[in-house]
Amino acid sequence: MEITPTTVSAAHRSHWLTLRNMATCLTAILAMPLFLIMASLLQPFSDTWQHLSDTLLTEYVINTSLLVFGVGIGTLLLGVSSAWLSALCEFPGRKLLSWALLLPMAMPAYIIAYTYSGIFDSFGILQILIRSTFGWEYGDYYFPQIRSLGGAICMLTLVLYPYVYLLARVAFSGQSLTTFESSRNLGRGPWNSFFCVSLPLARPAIIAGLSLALMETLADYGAVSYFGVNTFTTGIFRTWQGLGELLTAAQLCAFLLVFVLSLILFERESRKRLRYYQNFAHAKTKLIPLKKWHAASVIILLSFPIIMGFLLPATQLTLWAINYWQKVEKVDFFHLLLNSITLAIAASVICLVFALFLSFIKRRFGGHRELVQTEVVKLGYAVPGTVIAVGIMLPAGWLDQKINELSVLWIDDTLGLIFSGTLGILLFAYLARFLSISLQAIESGMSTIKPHLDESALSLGASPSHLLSRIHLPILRPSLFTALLLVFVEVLKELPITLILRPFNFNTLAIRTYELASEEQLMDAALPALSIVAIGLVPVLLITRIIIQDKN
Amino acid sequence: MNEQLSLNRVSIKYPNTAAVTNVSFALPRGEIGCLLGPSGCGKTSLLRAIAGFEPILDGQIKLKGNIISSPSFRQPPEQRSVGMVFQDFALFPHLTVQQNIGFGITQATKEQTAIRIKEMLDLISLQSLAQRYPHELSGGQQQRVALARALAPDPEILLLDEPFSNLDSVRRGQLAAEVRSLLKRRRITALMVTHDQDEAFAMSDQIVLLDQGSVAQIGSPKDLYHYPVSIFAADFIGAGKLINLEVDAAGNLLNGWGKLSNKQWSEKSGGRIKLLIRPDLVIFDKEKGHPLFIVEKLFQGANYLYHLAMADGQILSCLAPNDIDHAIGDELPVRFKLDQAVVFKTEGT
Repeated sequence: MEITPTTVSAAHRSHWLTLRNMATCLTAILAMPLFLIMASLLQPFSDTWQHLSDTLLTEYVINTSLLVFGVGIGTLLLGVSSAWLSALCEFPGRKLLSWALLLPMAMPAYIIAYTYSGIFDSFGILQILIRSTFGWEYGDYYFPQIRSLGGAICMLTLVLYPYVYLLARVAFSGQSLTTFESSRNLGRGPWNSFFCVSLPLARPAIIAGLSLALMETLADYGAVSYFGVNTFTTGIFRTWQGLGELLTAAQLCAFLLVFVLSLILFERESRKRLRYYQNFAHAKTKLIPLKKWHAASVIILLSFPIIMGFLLPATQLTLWAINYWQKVEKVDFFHLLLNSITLAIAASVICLVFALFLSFIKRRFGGHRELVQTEVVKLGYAVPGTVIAVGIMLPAGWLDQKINELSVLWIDDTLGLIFSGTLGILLFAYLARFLSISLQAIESGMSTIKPHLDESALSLGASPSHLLSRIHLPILRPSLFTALLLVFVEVLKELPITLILRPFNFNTLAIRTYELASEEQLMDAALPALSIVAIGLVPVLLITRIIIQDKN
Repeated sequence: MNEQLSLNRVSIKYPNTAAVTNVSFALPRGEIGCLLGPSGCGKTSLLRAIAGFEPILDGQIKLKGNIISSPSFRQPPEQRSVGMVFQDFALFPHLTVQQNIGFGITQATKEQTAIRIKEMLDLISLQSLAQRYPHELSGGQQQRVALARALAPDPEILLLDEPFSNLDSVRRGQLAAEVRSLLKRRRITALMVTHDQDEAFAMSDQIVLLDQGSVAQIGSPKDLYHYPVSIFAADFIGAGKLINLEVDAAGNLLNGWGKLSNKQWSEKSGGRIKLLIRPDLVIFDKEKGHPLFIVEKLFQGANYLYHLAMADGQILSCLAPNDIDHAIGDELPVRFKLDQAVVFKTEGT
C-alpha cells in the first residue's frame, strides 16, 4: 500500500488525539475523589449527622476557624517581619539567618507537636525541672497547657511561617529600588513610602504565602489530634473510624472543602497580581545598614523562630534518639526506613511520569482543555489528605463490596479486599495529592524553554517524541530532579492518607512516629521522627539555593 | 539671577559609582539642560545627587539660590521639590494611572487634587486611560505617565534619567520632540541625562558634556557640534573623523589639500594637527578633487555614505548625494570644505 503524505499526517494526528484524550481521562480519574466528596452532599444526611450537628459540628467549626485565624496572625507576624529585616537590612550573619529561617519547613507539625509535649508537658523535662528546683507539686504553679488549641496554633505557626517568609522575602528583595526612591522623590518620607509602596507591592506575595500556610493548617491531622483539639480533620477520622459512618465523614469533608476552596481562590487572585507587581527591571537592592544595637536585636529576633521551630525540637529529638539507640529495635527501624523509601520513590516516579505526560500534552496542544486539566490537577495539593483518602475510600469500598457480593454468588466464596487497603490505592492517593507538586516543577521548567526551540527542532525534522527526548528532557533535567525530590519528601512525611489507606500491618516512618507518640513512647518515636526531619532538610537546602540569592 | 539650578564645584565619590570631580554649571529658569557623556562618566551620579539620593563629597548644589546639598548638609529627597522621571519609569504597579499621578500631591484638598490630576492627564493626552494599571500601558504611555506624575506636584526642576532608552528608536524621536514642546510650553526647567547625542540635540538648550567625571564642554547643541573644544568632544559628538595631518607655518596642509585660515592656524611655525572633518565637509568634486579609494559604501536613501582611504591609510567619511554612485574599489574625487573644519594642535609628536 502506498502511503500518501495525507494518510501519514492523519494517522499521526489520530495518534496524538488518543494521547490527548488519555490525558483528559487521567485528570478525570484524579478528580474523582473530590467529585464524589462534593456529590456526597446530595445523599441523605444520616442520624449521625443530626447528632454531629447538635454536638460536635459547632466545635469543629469554631476550633478550625480559631486555628486558621491564630496561625494566620502568627505566620504573618513571623514571616513578614523576618522577610523584611533579612531582605533589606544589613547586619552580620544576614545570609546565614536568611537561610536558616527556612529550616522549620523540614519539621512536620506532628513531630514538633509531640517533641514539645515531651518538653513542656506536665511530665515533660521543663516542668519536672521546675518542680524539683522549687519543691512544688503539680498544680502549685501556673504553666500554660501545651496540649490545647493555643499550643496547636503555636506549633503550626512555628513550622508554617516559612511559607510567608519565603514569598514575602522574594517580593521585598525583588522590588526595584527606584520604586521606593520615586516615592521619596514625590514627597513621601521613608516610613510613609514603606507603608504606601513597599508593603502594598509585597501584599500579593504575602497573601499567597499565607494561603499556602493556611491550607497546610486545614490539612493538618497529626498535631491537632495529638493535642486533642477537635477540628474538621479529627472529626472526619472519628466519624468514620470511630462511628463507621463513611458517608457522614464524606459530608464533613465537603464542608472542609468549602474552607479550602475559598483559600484557593484567595491565592489564585493574589498570584495573578504578583506578575505585575514584581518589577525586576533594575533590582539592585541597596541594604539599609544597621547600628550595633539594632543589628544585635535584629539577630536575636530572627534567631527566635529558628531556635523554636527547628533547633530546639531537633536537638531534643537527637538527644532522645541517642539515649534510646540501644533500646530501639534496629531491624524494625531499618524495615520502616526501607518501607518508607520504597513507597516514596515509587510515588515520586509515578508522579513524575504523569506530570511529564500532562505538561507535554499541554505544550503540544495548549488548548483550553489542557489549561483546565492542569488547574484541576493542581487543586490536589490544596485538598487535605484526609479528604482525598475518604474520597478514595468511597468508591473503593463500594467496589470491593459489590465484587465480593458477586463472587459469593458465583464461586460461593469472598475474594477479600481488592481495592481498599492495597499499595496500589495508596499510590493512587499520593498521585491525586502530590501530582500537582511535580507538575508545577515540570511546568516551571517547561516555561523556560522558548517555543521557538520546539519550532526549530520540528522544522529540522524532529518528531514530537524526539522533541521530548532530545530537547525537553535534557533541558528539564534540574526540574525533573526537583520534582522527584519534592514528592519524595512529601510522601515520606505524609500522615493521614497513609494512616487511612495503608495495607494492614504496613508501617512507615511517619506512621510509626505517630503511633509511638500517641502511646506516649516519645523516646522510641525519636529515631523515626529524626529520620523524617533529616530527609526533609534536603529540599529546604535546595530551595535555599534557588531562591535566597541576592542579586549582586 | 534667574538661575534655577546651580552646581558649584561638585565632587562625588563612593564605592560602586562613577566618580565626579569639580563639576560646575548653572541652568537658567525654563531651560532644558542635558548631561551628556559615555556610560560611566558620572552623569547619573550627578542626577541622583541633585535628587538627593546620593551625598556629595565637595561643593554645593543650589536650587533657586538655596543650598540643597553640601558635604555637611543633605536635604531629604522628599523635601526638595525636585521631580524625577526614572529610567525604568518606576510607576507604582499597584496604583492606577490616576493614583500614580496623584501620589505626589500631598498638600491639597480632594477637589484640588482631582483638578490637578485631570490637568496632568490632559497635558499628556491620556484622559481615557486614567483607570488603567501601568502594566496595561505601552512603553510610550508609561513614559508619559511617569512624566505627568513627576510634574503633578509642580516641582522647581524636573530630572529625567535616560528618559527614552526604554523605547524603540522610532518612538524615541517622536517622544523627545513631544516632551520638549510640552516642557517649553509650561516653561519647566529640566535636566536630562543621556548617552545618546541625538536625544541630547533634540531635547536640550544647553549640553554639559562629561568625560570621566569632569566637564569637557558646556554649550548649545550647535556649539558642541561646530566648535568642539577638545579632541574628546570632537570625537564624541557627531560622526566626524579626526585626521592626522601636518601644516607649514603659513597654514598650508602638507598633503596639498588646501590652506587653513589665519584663525585656524596662527602659529609662527608649522606642526602636526588633528583635523575634525565631518562627512558633510568632504565634497565630491570632479575637477579639483583628489581621487581616493572607496573602501565601504552605505546607502542612506537621499545620500551615500562613502568611507574613503587616504594615501597614508587614514579613513575619511564622505556624504554624497545618491546620484554620485561609484562602486567599492573605484576612486572618488573629493576635496575638503576646510573653512568649517576644526583644528587641534597636537603637541610634539
